[in-house]
Amino acid sequence: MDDRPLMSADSVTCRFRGTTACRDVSLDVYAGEVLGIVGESGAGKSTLLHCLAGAVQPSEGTVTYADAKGHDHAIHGLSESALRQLSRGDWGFVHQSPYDGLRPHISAGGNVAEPLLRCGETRYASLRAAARHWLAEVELDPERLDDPVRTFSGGMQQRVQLARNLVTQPRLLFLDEPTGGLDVSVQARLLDLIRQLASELEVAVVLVTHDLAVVRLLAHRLAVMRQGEVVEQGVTDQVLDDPQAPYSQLLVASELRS
Amino acid sequence: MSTVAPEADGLPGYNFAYLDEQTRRMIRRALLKAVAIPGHQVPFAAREMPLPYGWGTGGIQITAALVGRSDVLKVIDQGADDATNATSIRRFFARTAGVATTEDTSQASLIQTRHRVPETPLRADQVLVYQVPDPEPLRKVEPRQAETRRLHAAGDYGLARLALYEQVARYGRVRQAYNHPVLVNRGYLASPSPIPRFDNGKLDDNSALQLFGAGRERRVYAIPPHTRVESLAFDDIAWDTDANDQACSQCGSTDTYLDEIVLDDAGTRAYQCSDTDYCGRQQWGGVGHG
Repeated sequence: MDDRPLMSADSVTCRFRGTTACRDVSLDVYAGEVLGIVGESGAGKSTLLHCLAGAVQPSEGTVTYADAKGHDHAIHGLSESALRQLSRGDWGFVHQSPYDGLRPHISAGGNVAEPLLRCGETRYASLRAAARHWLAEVELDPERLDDPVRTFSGGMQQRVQLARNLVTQPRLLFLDEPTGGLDVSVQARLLDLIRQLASELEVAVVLVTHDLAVVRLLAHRLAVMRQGEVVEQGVTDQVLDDPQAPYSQLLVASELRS
Repeated sequence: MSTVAPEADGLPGYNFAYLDEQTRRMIRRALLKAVAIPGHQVPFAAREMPLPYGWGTGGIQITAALVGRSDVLKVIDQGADDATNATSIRRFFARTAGVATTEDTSQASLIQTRHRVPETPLRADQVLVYQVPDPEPLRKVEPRQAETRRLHAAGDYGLARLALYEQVARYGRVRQAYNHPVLVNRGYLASPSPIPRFDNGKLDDNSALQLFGAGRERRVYAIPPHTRVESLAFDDIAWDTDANDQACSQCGSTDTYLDEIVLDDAGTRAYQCSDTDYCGRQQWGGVGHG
């Protein structure tokens, strides 16, 4: 693992009119690690994630990304086309609702091939091969390559979304509640898949969830957010087994146990 | 063959070629910009015209802005000179501008067309004006206009290729028979107005100036003479011109775009050149026709 962070947020504050969605957040994401961001609904997790991904402009603070050549980019100062280039090639973003990240009337293969097309691939055979390969990687039946994704189940749609975001071999993957709205067994298999792929592909992952079970399984490090602030950061097991901040203690205590 | 309208100065009370001079200047300015940025859609303040949207309000405004007293005008509708749309627009200019009109492609200096490129090759001293119902080639894949502009600015045409991918995946070939998008001068993606895919090749390196007008959408764009125009395609799939292997039942041509005419309810079909002027010329050698 590189000792320099892939992405770092420095005192990021996002205000919308009167509300402060996140306040003075600083965190680092290192190559190949899974960073979990947990907190209750409205804690500012998703805003922070969108801010890291360049989609939301912070009111204060900077987000810096180190590209494959080691150059640093302050992502909110980048031109629209440079940011597009990064978010298309270097990053992936898996939305909570598959319909936010997929084109429902386009085939699964088309959805997976689209990021490659947008990166300039113009050979049909390569698109086809890549789509087939990545559908297999996320354990979907290659027979369904040409079925529109609206005919897929919720869990399968999330797999297609994952495949679509991995096809460009990104260095950084943003996951916004990837298992929300899925039943428990489907959730477990999807989580297992994400864990396996993240370690195989050595892709760094920023994972936002309210589900502590999910971060326990996936995240190496954890940031706990409350009312827009990061109240605690550290290694996952340490934060979950020995929470320091009062809010983390509350959060861990209210986790359902079987 | 050409006929000069009786009132050489147009109708009394009307400006030459219907539009007022300021409007004609405004449209010409938009056209100059369009020629300077091949394939880029330039907004213009389209006027109400005395015909409904979808009947060629964009094309007719370009023609009105460009036409001069010495011009010879030809108007075609789906290749035919005698269809309602062509006849009405031709008569409109004969009355409001008093210009000469013709059906002969080679004699025309200004040709307004709906959905076809003439079979007869065009020359450098000719201008071809297209009537365009929808100027945005990305509309089908991205309905948000603000976003399509961003995609044009970034040259991000992956989405347009995605539509082709879907066709090849589903049907084994590119199935879009008309309005197949083109890359103009390796820059902007443009809609060739709904000309058949058969005609796409004629846009490339054409000697004539090609202008496109969309009245309802208030956009003009242009392909200057001898500009490189490529149909959007995959590198590893050969371009198929969509020609059928029939011959014209009237003139016997095998290299033209043919209309398929259903003759009865038993599946009998006849094929005939869609370009009526060209077809007649093949049959009668251009004598006594039109």
